[in-house]
Formats: sequence, structure tokens, C-alpha cells
Amino acid sequence: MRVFAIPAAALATLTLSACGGSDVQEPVEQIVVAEPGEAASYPGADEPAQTASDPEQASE
Amino acid sequence: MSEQTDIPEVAPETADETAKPERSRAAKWSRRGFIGAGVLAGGALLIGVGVRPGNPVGKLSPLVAGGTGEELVNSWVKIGADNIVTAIIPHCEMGQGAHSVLAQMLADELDADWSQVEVMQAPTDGSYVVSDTARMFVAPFTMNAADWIEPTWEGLFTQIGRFADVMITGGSSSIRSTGQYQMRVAGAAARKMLVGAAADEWGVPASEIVTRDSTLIHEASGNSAPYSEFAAAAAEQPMDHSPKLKDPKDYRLMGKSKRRTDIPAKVNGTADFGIDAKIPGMEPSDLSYAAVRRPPIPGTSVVSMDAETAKGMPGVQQILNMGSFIAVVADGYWNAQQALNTITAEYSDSESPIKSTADQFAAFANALDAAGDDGGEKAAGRGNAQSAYAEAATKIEAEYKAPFLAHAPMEPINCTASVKDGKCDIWTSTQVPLMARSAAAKALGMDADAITVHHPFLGGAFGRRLENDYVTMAVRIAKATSYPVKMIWSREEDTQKALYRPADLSRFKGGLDAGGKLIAYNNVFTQRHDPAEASVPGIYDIPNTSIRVAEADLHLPFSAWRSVDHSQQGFFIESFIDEAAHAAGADPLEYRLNMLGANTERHRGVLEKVAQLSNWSAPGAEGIGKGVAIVESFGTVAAEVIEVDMTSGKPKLLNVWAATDAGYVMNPDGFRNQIEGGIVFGLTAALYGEIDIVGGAAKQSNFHDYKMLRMNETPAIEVAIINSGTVPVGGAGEPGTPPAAPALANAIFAATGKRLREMPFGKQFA
Amino acid sequence: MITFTINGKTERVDADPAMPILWVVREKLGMTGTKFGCGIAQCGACTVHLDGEPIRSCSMPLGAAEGRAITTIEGVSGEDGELNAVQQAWISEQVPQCGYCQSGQIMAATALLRDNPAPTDEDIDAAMSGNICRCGTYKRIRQAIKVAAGIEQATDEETAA
Ligand code: FES
Ligand code: FES
Repeated sequence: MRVFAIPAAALATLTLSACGGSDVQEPVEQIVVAEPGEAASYPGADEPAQTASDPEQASE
Repeated sequence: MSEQTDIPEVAPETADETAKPERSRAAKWSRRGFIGAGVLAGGALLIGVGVRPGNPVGKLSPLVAGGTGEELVNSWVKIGADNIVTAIIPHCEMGQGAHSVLAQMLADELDADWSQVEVMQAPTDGSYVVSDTARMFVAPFTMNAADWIEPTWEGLFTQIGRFADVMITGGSSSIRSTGQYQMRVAGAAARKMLVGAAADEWGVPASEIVTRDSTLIHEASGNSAPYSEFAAAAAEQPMDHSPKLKDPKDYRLMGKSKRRTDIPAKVNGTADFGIDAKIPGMEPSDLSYAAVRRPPIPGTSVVSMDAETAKGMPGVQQILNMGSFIAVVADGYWNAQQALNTITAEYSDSESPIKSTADQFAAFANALDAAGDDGGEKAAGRGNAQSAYAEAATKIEAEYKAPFLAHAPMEPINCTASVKDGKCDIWTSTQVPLMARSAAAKALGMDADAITVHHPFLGGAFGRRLENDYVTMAVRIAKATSYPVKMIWSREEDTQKALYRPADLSRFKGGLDAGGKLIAYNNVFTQRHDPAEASVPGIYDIPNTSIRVAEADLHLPFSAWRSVDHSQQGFFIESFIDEAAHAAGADPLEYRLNMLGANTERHRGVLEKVAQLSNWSAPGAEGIGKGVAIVESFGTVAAEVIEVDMTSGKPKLLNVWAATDAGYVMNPDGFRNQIEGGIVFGLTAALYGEIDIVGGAAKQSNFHDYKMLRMNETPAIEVAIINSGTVPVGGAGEPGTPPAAPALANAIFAATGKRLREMPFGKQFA
Repeated sequence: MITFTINGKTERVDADPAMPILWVVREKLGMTGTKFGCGIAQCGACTVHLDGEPIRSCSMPLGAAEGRAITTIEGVSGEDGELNAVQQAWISEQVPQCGYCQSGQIMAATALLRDNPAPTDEDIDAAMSGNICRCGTYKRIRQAIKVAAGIEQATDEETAA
């Protein structure tokens, strides 16, 4: 019987946390479009409701 | 052995909360540290059981003390001014009912009023490391080690546990380790101290005081008082480090089907799962959401992305190329996902030679070819399997295939994170909150103490949430944006970029003597992870065995999947035993009974029970077949008989009968629910489960092509429980799964004469 | 602006009419009892009632709710939070494991029993097979539906052993 039978999953993490150091990685590319809270505009939000999808069908 | 020792010193409440735990103390740890007790300012009693070396109760108290007038009685139990007992549970609740059962065990020893017991999830603090769980994984055989060895082992394992940040819910271990070794001890010790305090106050012998429903009663003097009245005075009492635990005949809650405490919130929409995380002080509509995409082929990265269209999509806030994945952050998940869908990307080349399922199985076959009849690494064996095979009267050979499988928990992978002002908060469904914290600390380059993991209910896990890949992704996104973000994976992302149950190929050669007895068993396969004994048919008395592993690389990343290696090995071994029974012209259930080796009373018990339940010997109608399989996993022996109707040409599941022996079951109805679920999980894999590799990527994407068993396909299920012992030795979450696939394959063989050696079975009858 | 009622209360929401109801309910209204499981009408975790009919809210655009009534798991209990017969049976039969699919299961079962107070096994199969439970609680769901319908006796805590 193998004594050290930590599940592979746990072992992987054990190895990771045991080897110290840090994994910090900044984004390779960061595109900022808007800040949270800036009003999003929905084209068509004021148009009559669309009911393209049939409720009966969707419930199947 | 009731060992009275001095009360260890407890960190006073004024202790520096930010002080680092002294790891070196583990080495000097002694048994007395296992239960620590002391007095807090205000006179409350604190007991910490098996928490960690040193005395963490002082540090923990602010985390678990709620309202005013409440007193912390120990780290695992709190008695409030209203006499409500709160059990503080170190395991996550992912549907296995552990919260309730652990509370039952504690409350029984404490003689608490069950209607006044509440459950609280332990805070994510290193002090809640589950040392017994760590120990069970590392060296299961020490669980019943002689008492003198305990200090050494305990000290060692607590240290390992801290190191790995093990606050783990897996391996079907909650009840048998935490419950048996910690919750019961905590309850019994607290009870004894309360009794001692009342005896002193009333001037009566402690032995005359009885406890019932959270009340101390002395009949002769007419005194009685709720526990809460003596919580503070109990702190002055000497503490029993090994309090006497109840005899099974005195159990009032243990062994009873008490209703689970987590269920009411799960029927009215109020149960919060990771995906439901709300940020305090923030309207849900103000939160930002991320949709993510990782490269389709494992081990590759994002070289470049074209996000021109996505930039103009409604609600989009940020688009991130994180190297290992792409994220779109928007004002809602749906907007984020819609924008992400428009992004095209280039990925790095994969170095893996495997592009398809066929390539993967060819790699397995090459490894097995190279190993031949005696190559590879020996996993187990006795006698001489090769010569016995050469001389056998009847020879059989078989090769079995098991595919990659995704966990597909019902709650898609998600994680909410906020990283600002040098602090990080994480809300997520995880089986390993402390490991999640470590992973986040590394990804952020932050100290773990600055990170708080909030972990609500898990919407299923099955091993998937032992991994922290998604936590790392979420905190990196939140750091880049500097505002809180809830990352949600689409089901497609969850299915195609998962960590999978390994595929495998397993070859057998078997030899029978003239009487039909299996005398040679030669087996080689490529995947061995855990538990190590999963590939060993140890319950059978086979004189010559050779069990070997010829390792082959997996193209897809893997992780523990409900029952781990038993999920494939159960199918391989129990199918092959069935083939041997057929070659011997024997009844498959009789054949197994006759082959049982030493120390198999429990196995005999479940086989006989399942034969009786299923009316095994009654002849079946034309086209209807029954199959049997037995697998011991995580300490529980489970035998299942499945009845299948093949008259339409496709398998229709009629009945499953299961007989199980876990030693002692603490909550029979909860245990049955787990076994039933494990069976359905196993049958889903047996009929449908399959992740293919196409062009190096996982093919199946959602429930239309990664199918689940549904209501109309689910058979009647009956589960019998045998309590062969007085304490739980086995788990509940996983043992129902492994016998399901082989029992079904064997049933289809009985009905049709067609032997299925490849999972899944469903498509073979399409 | 789309106007509809949800659990009896009128709401006006400024959101893309193409956005599925699921995300409006969860993220705009903050009602998280309705769950996301697959997003493609395969699992039923997101089941709500639209004018009383069970629908897959992940695949139904908000626009379809204009002027109509949505009921979610938060709205099926009685006035003071008293559980309905289906919810009570879910407790007596100890149905949920992880519980994640159960809002959807209960919404589907509630609609079934309203239309068919004494469903057969086949009726239960037909009404409930659109709802996946990865934890595998189907046997108990079937039993609980029968209990809620009064076809079978509720299991009480002491007899469950
Ligand atoms: S999330 Fe709507 S059916 Fe699955
Ligand atoms: S209870 Fe977990 S998915 Fe149904």
C-alpha cells in the first residue's frame, strides 16, 4: 500500500502551495470601455416588446 | 482512559489577531493540545477540539460569537443566552447532508435539545484545518492506531493539514473523521464540564445530575437549569481530554433519520449558492459580471484577440486578454457572454501529440502493448499469474474502455471577487476554502491573511470543486478592474474546459481451473491515481494475481471525480469477474460468494442481502436481465443488482437494489439519499457519459450532447443498510457510484448475451 | 421599458428586450432563487411560470413578458411564507441534496399538480423529464409529488429510519 495517498487533486494544490513564490500575472491586454454605473443604452428598449420566441416551444 | 491534564493556556481575547500561527509549534505538539480549553474575558468557557496545535480558541471567538449575551462554549459548539446550541461545522455542505449529521453527533453527546440546535459553517480560518481528514487521506490505517501513537501522528498530520490548507470536503470523510473524532468528543467534553459546574453550584455529586434537552437536572434536590446558565461557570471545570463517548444503546440522535437542517432553505429559493453571492452594500444590479473563455486546447494560451465588435456591445465595461483566458466584464452576465461570443482569438500551438479520442486510446494501447504480460509497475499481486494462466483449463481475455467524463455539477463554475484597499473578498462554491485562499494569495501576490473566502452552499461538486483554477481567474479579473466582479462560466465552458475523470484502457487475462475457479488474474491498465487499492480485487480469493500499471499521458487535465479510480476500476474488475462466472457456467452472484476471501463477512452480508432484496434466483422473463456487482470504496461495501428490460432493443432500467454496509450509519435516510444519488450518477455515466477529443479539444458542450439520466429513465431504487459495527467506518457520498456501471453491463449481458466492454453503453444500442 | 408583474408586484425594467428573463430576474431584480444551469432550455433549473405556465426563463426574452405575470420560487409560498403542499412534501420526503435544481423542480411540479391533481407515473415522467437533477434525487421527487397530491402518505421524521 502506498502511504502517501493524498488525492491527486489535493496533491497538486499541495505542491503548488508548498513551492512558495507567486503567480501574479497582469493582463496582456486591457480594454476599458465604460465604468460600472455608466448608463447602458439599449437600442430598441422603447420599441414594442418582441415575442419572437414562442413560450410553448421554449418550455420544452 | 480518561487523562486529566492541566488546562492549556489560551490566547487571551486581546491577543494580536494578526499574529501568524507559529508553524514550528506543531513539532512540539502533545496530546493535551488536542482539546484546548480556557477562560475568556467575561468568564465564558472555550473548548477547541482537534483544531490545530496551540490554542486557537481565543483567536476564533470573535468570528463565531454573534449577538450580545452569547457565550462560546467551544470551537465546535456555541451555547447562546437563549440556550440555542450552534454546531460549528468545518465541512462544506454540497448536498451530502454533512452539516446536519455532524450536528446530530455533537448534539447527541451533549444531550442537546435537537429542536434548539443550529448549524453554522466554520469561518475560513486556518484554525479550522481538518486534521483528521488530512490524516485519512494520507494514511487511512492510522485512524484506529493505538492511543500511544496518536500524539505523533496527530502532530504530524495537523502540520501537513495546515501546509496544504486542508479544509477539505471530499473522500466521503466528513462523518467518519470529523464526526467520529471531533464532534462527538467536543459534545461529550462540553457536557461533562457543564455537569461539573452545576454539581459545584448545587452542592450535589456530579454523578447524580442528568442531562436532557439542553437542561441540567438534579432530581433529588429539585434543581434544574438550562445549559446557558452554567456556560460561564463550566469554564472553571477541569477538562477531560478523552471524555467517555456514548454506547450505541444510549444514542438518541445518532442512527436516527433526523431531517436535514439545510433543506427548508432549499425549497423556497432562499438557499444561497456561490453563484447567488451578493456584495454587502451593493445592489445586485450595480455589480459587474464576467464571461470567460479559455483556449479550447489544454495547455495553450491566448496569443491575440480581436474584440472590435465586442467593444460596441451593450453593457460592456472591460475586455481583458489575461493570457491564459479572455474575459468580458459587463453590467450583466448575459451581455458579457453575448459580447464574448463575438470575440475571435488566436491561440498558441499545442505540444500534445494527441488530437482525437482515437489518438488517446492508441497511446493507452501502446503503453499496454509495451507492458505485455509482466511489464509496467506492479500495483499488487501474489503467486504466479503467468504460469497459472498457462496451465489453466479455461482461458478468458478482455479489454475494457472508459472515457473521459466531466463532473457537470448543476451549478456552473463561478466565483465572485473584490480586490481593493489591500484586501480581497471571495464568494464561491468550493470544497476547499482554505486552498482557495492560498490560490488567490498566490495569484494576487497578497498575504493569505488579507483574503477572506465566503463559501455558501455548493450546487454540486463531485470533486470538481476541489480545484481552484476558477478562483485564480476571478481574483485576477477583479484585480484588473479594481471593482467587484462575478465571474460565471457558461455550461459550455464548464463542460469543455473542465478537469476530467481520466479515460483508461484495461486488459485482463484470466485462467479458470477445471472446476471453474478463477486461479489466474493478470491485469494491466494505464491510470492509477486514488485510492491506491481501487485496482485490486482484494475481496476475492484468487491465488495468482498480477496487477500492473503502464502509465500513459492524458491529453485532457484530470481531477478527482466521484469515487475517483473506483469509477473505472469498478467497471473493469466487476465486468471481468462476471465474464469469469460465465466461463465457469456459474451463477454470477453465487460465483462471487464462493470466491470471497478472508475477512469478507461484510461483503458476504451485502451480497446475500441484495440477492434477497432483488429476488435474485427467480427466473426473469425473456429479454429482461439482472446483473450484480460489488465494490468496496471509502470504507463502505456496496452490492447492487440492476434489472434491465432489453425487449425494445434498447436498455430500459427497471430496478436497482442496493445493499450497503458502512459499519454504522448515523442518519439512515440521509445515507440512503446519498446512495440513491450515487447510483443515478453511476448510471448516467454508464449510459451516456463521454467526453471526446476532436482537434485536441473536448467535444461535448452542454446537456444536449453530454446527457444526464432524467426522470423518465430513472429506475425504482431500493437501498438496504446493514450496520455491522457500532461506529461509521465508511462514507456515503461515493460508494453508491462504482457498482452501477458493471451491474448494468452484467444485466444487459444476462438479457441479451451481448457483453459490453466499453462505456458508455447507450450509443451501442442506438 | 418592459412592464410585467413578478410574484404579484409590478416591475418596470430598462433592459434589452432580447435579454432572457432569467438574467433580468437574477441580476436586475436580485431574486436569486431561480437558477442558471445550461442556458439552452435543456435542464429546467431556470423554470418560472409565465401567466401560470412553466417556461425556461434562460431561453425566453424579456420582451415576451411585457404585460404578463411571472411567478418565481420566491412567489409560490403562501402570504406569510407558509410552504405550499409541494414544498412541504419536498421536506417530508427529504428530496434535495445540493438543492440547486430544486427551485426549478418545484416550479415544474407545482404547475403539474395544479393542472393534474392526481398524476400517474407517466404524467410525472412527462411533466418532470425536462428537469435535470445531477445529484439524482428523481426517486424522491416522484415520491414527493405523490405525497403532495395526497396519493401517498408523507414520511415522518421518526419513521424514515
Ligand atoms: S438554465 Fe434554463 S433550462 Fe437550463
Ligand atoms: S439536488 Fe443537486 S442537482 Fe438536484
